Amino acid sequence: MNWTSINFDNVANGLWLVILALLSAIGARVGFRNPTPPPAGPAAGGRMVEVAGALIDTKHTQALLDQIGLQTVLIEKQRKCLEEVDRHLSELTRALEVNTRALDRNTSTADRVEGNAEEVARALSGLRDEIIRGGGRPR
Amino acid sequence: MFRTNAPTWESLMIWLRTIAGVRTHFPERWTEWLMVVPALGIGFALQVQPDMFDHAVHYDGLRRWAEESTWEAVILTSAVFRLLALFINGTFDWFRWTPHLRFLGAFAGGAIWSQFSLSALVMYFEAGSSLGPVMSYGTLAIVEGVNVFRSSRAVGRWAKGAS
Repeated sequence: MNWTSINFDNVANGLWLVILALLSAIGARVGFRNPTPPPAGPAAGGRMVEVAGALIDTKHTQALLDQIGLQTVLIEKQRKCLEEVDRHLSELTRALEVNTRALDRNTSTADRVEGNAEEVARALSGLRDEIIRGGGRPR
Repeated sequence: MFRTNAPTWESLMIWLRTIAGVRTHFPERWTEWLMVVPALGIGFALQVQPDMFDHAVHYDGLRRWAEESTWEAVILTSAVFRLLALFINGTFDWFRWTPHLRFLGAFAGGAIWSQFSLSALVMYFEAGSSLGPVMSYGTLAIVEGVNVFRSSRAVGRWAKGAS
């Protein structure tokens, strides 16, 4: 075999490709067999603190603090929404008051119209009696 | 009308979730974050100095295989995709393919840095250039090998979860 005809670049590239392929295969196999990621605890650099006999992982405490931070943001958002709702309810109440006053005025106007109509009916009835007494014959 | 500034809050929540996700996964992925730096750095260097390969003998092998502009495009594209994958980071349900993107980024990185190292080695034999770049670029290629292992492990976990 003529060794000088072998291209060094191709050999090196092929070798490196084989190494990467092997690493990929081994990695995928390891990941498939151990689907749970390594715990973010003391093994990953977390610090253990003992509080009144209980073991608390600082990473978990940090995660809890992050969640509390998120909740605070959400509560603030909710507060602003509730303020907006409160403002709109106040506007609605004012509009209902105006509406009620208008209805009151409407009712008193209707009462007056009714009184006047009764007076007109009485006057017409009196007129009819006068006509009968004067010899006329109502049709 | 009843109006809230909901979009602002939602985008803030997305940012907070993204940052929390990056922080949580950082211990396992710090080598991948690290390898974005030389990729962006070389991409930037090729942008600033388009004839960079003319200034050192150990790049002659690279120029033999492709132009500087091609190397720049390949390196920057892989770096940007990798950065995106690391940012999205499996935090959101609408995109669950970040392990695959990370794997592709690591594989591309391994291929790129091995070519840099190989070019320096070839030029050492052919032109007697310095062996230093072989060591430094070789180290980057080895770190990418570690990244290939780690990201393919994530792909394996993903496959287990999906099956």
